[in-house]
Amino acid sequence: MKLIQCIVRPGKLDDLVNALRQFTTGITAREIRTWGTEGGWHGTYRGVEYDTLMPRVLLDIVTDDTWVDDIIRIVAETGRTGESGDGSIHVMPVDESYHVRTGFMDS
Amino acid sequence: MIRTRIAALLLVAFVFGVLAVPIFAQGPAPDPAGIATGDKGAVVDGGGNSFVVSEPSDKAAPDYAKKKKDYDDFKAQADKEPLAMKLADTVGHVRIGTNFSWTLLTGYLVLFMQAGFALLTCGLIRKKNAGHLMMLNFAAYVFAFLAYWAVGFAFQFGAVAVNAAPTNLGGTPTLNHFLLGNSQWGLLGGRGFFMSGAGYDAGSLCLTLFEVVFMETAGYIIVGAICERITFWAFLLCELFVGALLYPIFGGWVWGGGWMSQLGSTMGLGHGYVDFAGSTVVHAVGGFCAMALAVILGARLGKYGPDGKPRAFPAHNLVFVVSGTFILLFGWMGFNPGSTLGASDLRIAVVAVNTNLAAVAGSASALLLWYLMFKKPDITMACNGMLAGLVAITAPCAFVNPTSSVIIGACAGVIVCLGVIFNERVIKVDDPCGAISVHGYCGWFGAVCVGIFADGTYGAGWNGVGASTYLGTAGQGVTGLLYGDMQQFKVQLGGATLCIVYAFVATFVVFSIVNKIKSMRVSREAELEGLDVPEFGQLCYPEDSYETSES
Repeated sequence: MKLIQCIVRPGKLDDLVNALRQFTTGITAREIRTWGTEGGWHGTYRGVEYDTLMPRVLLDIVTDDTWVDDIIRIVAETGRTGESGDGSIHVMPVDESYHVRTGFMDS
Repeated sequence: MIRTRIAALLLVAFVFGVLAVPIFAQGPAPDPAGIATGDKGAVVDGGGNSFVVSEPSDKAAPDYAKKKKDYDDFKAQADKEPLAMKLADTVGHVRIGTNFSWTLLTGYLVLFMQAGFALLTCGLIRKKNAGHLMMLNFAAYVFAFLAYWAVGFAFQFGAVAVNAAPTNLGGTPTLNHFLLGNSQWGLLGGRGFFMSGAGYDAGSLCLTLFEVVFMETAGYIIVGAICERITFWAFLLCELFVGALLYPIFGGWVWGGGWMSQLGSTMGLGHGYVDFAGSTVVHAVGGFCAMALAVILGARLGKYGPDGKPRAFPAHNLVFVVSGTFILLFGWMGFNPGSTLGASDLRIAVVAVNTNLAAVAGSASALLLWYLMFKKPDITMACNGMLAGLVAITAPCAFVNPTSSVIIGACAGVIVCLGVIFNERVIKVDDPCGAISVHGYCGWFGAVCVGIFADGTYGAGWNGVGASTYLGTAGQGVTGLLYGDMQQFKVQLGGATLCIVYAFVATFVVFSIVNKIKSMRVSREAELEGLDVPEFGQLCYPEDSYETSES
């Protein structure tokens, strides 16, 4: 079992969820703010300029090891625009997981 | 702690000492039922000429013979047609009734501006202080109202019948005594404390409803400049100060028949100081009171970097900002046209259009100027520009033509932008919502504009000046520099400047002392965390999950 964390552009969220639907049983999305290689977000308010973190979406996907490569490929293809700031994908091991309703381990 | 208690006791003793005499003094009988208000004496034609001809008393006057003949003719006619006289009583009552409806209805519109201010200021600040700010807006209405009920109204309008009787509302003859000063140099009104006695009168209370919401406007202007760092107790003191003293005293000088309104008859300065709906009386007083408080409180933590450069604290909700601004514009349709105190004065249509024109001209010029200066138009500055146009047209709205309104509004839009930059970068007074620039600077500008753009078509006999002729022309009203009255310009410039000095110095002195006794500012920790929880224990935007536990 693996946890795949993807930081993606907010505008790509719908496309990604549609493309990933057949490979996963669940996706959790969070609105986050990041500061990556592309830098932050440049704002101006009443004539004063300021930099702040960029809005992004973070997807958590828990999946069987067999699906990891497919998911990474789909996220990388669907989420790409080619510009700096497309995001990143991180894969980490999951020791155990349970359903809250049944209390049993999800195989 | 003991010092605060002693101060509070002294305040209470002072208030009751001042009130004891006039409350029990005798005067014309008030009319709480409203039955006796408005009879044939209130019947006038479109030009304000009375239906009833009164008997001339001054036998030495040159036109005595003519006046006596007019009176005799009227008397003979009246004796012949008693039914017509009865009908005239009814017509007069209906006329006053129409004006009551108008005045009360526009008063309700001004009341609604409270919601606009709450939304606008809340949207402009940071999320972490939103709950605190809503409490400030709310408490401003509540406590300033009570202060105005106790003494404010009496100080402002306690002598209104002496010089500036609102004939459209029946004249409120019971409000006829200056506590300080005389009929030419009135300083402080002295009837109607606690809105009882002389103040318990239908006409007087109609005026009260309309004027109390004006005072509230000055009261919540200050919120925009002092929010995000003031303690609640200090804010309550500010509101009591504005509602009981600062606003009513200056208001009485201009609107209550006080000395500034009489400068035309006493010093020959045009029609005296003229401020139709309160560019200075309401807005500049509030704006410069806010400025003094902002100077005393100092800038918000982190507003200026170590290099002294201002930082952006972006508005947290632009939807609130724009909705609030439009609610204020809507409320202003009561603020300015309602200041005729009567729908029988048909100038209300001109006033309403002028007010709107200045608003759109102000927002257009602010928006475009910002576009030019910073390459991006800023919606919050466009909203400030709209309010700047409204504030500036508030004093001249009845006296100028639509073209002048556009010019005044457009200039105000430029002033508000430069004012915001000047406050933030040059004098470094931290004003989160731009209240000082919008209400203070543009308020001053608006009152001066009366002395420049007033075209003389309206306001004949204003403040008792030039009832028959003015500048050699019958029916000539308030006239500005461009239309040939230098004196009016002088009194407007001097009066508006006096207003801002008065509001700033009075507030600065009083609250510097308060701040010495106990700091008016919240602790550093509270300010960093956001004031919602440290001051009130409640978040403006709590998480749903904290609230929905079933057990």
